[in-house]
Amino acid sequence: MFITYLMHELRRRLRQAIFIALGLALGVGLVIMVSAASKGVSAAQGSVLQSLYGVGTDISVTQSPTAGAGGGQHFNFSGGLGKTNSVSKNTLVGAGLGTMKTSTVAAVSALKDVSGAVGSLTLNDVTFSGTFSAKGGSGSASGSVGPGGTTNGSFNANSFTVAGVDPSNDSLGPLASSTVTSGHGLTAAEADQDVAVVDSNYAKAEKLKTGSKITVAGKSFTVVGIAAAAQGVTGSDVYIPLARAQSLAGMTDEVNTIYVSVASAADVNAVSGEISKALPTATVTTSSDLASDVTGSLSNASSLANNLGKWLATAVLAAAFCLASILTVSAVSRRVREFGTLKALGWTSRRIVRQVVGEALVIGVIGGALGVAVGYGAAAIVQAVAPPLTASVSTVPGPRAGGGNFADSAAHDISTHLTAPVTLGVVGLAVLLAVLGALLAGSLGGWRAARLRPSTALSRLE
Amino acid sequence: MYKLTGVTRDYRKGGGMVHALRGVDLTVEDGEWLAIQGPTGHGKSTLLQILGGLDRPTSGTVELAGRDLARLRESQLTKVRATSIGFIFQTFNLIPTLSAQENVETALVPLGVPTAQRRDRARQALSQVGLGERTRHLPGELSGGEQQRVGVARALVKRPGVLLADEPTGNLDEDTRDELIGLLGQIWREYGLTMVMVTHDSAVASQAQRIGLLRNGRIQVRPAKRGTAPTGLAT
Repeated sequence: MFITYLMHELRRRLRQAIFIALGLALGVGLVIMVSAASKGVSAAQGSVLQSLYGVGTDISVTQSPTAGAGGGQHFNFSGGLGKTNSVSKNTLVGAGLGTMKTSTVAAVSALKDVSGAVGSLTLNDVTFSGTFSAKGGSGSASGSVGPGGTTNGSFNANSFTVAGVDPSNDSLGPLASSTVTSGHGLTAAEADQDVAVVDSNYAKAEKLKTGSKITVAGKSFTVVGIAAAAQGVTGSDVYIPLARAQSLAGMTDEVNTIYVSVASAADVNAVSGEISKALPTATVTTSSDLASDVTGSLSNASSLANNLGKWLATAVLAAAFCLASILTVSAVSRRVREFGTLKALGWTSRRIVRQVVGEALVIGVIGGALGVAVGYGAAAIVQAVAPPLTASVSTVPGPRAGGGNFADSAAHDISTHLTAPVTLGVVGLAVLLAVLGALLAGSLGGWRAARLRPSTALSRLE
Repeated sequence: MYKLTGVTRDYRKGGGMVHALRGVDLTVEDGEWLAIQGPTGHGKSTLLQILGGLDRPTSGTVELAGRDLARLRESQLTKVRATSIGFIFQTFNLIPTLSAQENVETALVPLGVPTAQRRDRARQALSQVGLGERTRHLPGELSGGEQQRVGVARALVKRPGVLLADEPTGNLDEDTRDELIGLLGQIWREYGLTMVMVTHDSAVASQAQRIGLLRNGRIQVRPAKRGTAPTGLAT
């Protein structure tokens, strides 16, 4: 009789039952969608941060540049007065970061809870060519002209980024987040060789492949591998062994970034403090530091999902609960005579309450199931139509050394696609919320029904 | 079966106090058919509800088979209603979403009767009132008379000792009324029920053994003019 009565009653109030179920479905769907979007944004942030350092990196250490440091960006050239001179230079210059001794890497690696540390050297390979002429005055045209003289010229400059990486550790460093798609990565055996791994985008632009030759600082390097950077990451164009980069740049025994991995996520802050103590002038950056520096549409999406999204979902769910409760209590009020009759027939209040709660529960389960479908659909739509999100973060604090047009940008702009993964945990939570909402509504209705005195119920005219 | 002593029922209404019953003393014997008449608003339905344990008196005792209903807990009253008392309502009070058979079954649900047995007894009760072919019909698909027959079947399916009817023919036309009262009379005779019926209709009341006239909350009981063994309404 319980099921029969329940099903017949829901059929009688089908429109109202559907209305309540849809309200609950909307709330549940919104909870799922917001959770999925929030997870997607967190995943995007995670991949952005990961790619900024590289996979496995928990902390990065850099040094604020000092004036004249970083290898400088100056070109010496000379020629005769009164004639047109040609100049062509190809050199490796610093990328606007200060440097640290290689021994610092070992010192950091020896700190407690540090599971690994590698150093790298990020540089720019600059090719400068053109012609110039100098008239009058005295002296020679070697980068300056004497009194009364003038210099005219036309120059071209090309550059690409070069990262010197430690080939003995491929799990940390600027190449760690890239995937080798052709050839192989740099190996420890190639530490002193003129070999290079080239970024896939750069290789495509320069029509390079495994076995091709490229010139770095005037030296011919053989491409041994092509690597694709993680989605949205802008890494270096060319990766060469650290020792060769140091030698070619005239920065022997120097690095400008140390990548650190920590034994446990819980130790990041402690290790960060230890490094700061050991290297008081260094800039120590953790993922949470970077996260707070991230700007751009990814940051906005994160705020939207975490603040507005969650509040909106909560508000809609609360409204759905209220609506379900009001309609259930209203339905009970309309069935006063019916419940009074059942009490007259000997039905206990408990049996009647169970009936009311059962009806509300069925509506809640239907609402929850519909909400799951709505949530999945909405998450899929978000994933399909969301525009790429961009994140900008400044990785170099303080002034840049060398200046000029050839310093690498201190800001990283990364583009990433938003996903909206729906987890079973969220689905379960959302359905639970719908059922709880229904139970709340049913309980209120049941309480109303239980308080009915049969005589009062039967004395009301329909 | 029933012994009421000094029963009063007062309740607040519109800022004032209404004295629905004022010291009612009444005895209803086992197997007796008592009709209660009186002007509207003078306490007839209130008295019936108190007899049925649907309401409690403000003071006095209401003994049913030796138990004072006024002193019982709500759960005990519910059990008495479930096992011993059948109700017939003026407005039928059928559950609109349940079929005739399912409506009759609702009276057996509190008794924990197994499903198959419950359905069987409901069908038999409907056959007894002449609705054996209409068991699957919803109340909305039945005439007034048929709906009231379902009400009668529902009241009797649990084989109560007492049948309380509140204006059972109030919503029926004359012919249907006659049929229903004939049916009730037949059932009363057959099962030896104690029946208390509130009615405005003197023709119906005269079928009872005694008539109680309730006026201003006080009752006066006299023998009915027609027969101690009702044979249905005579023309």
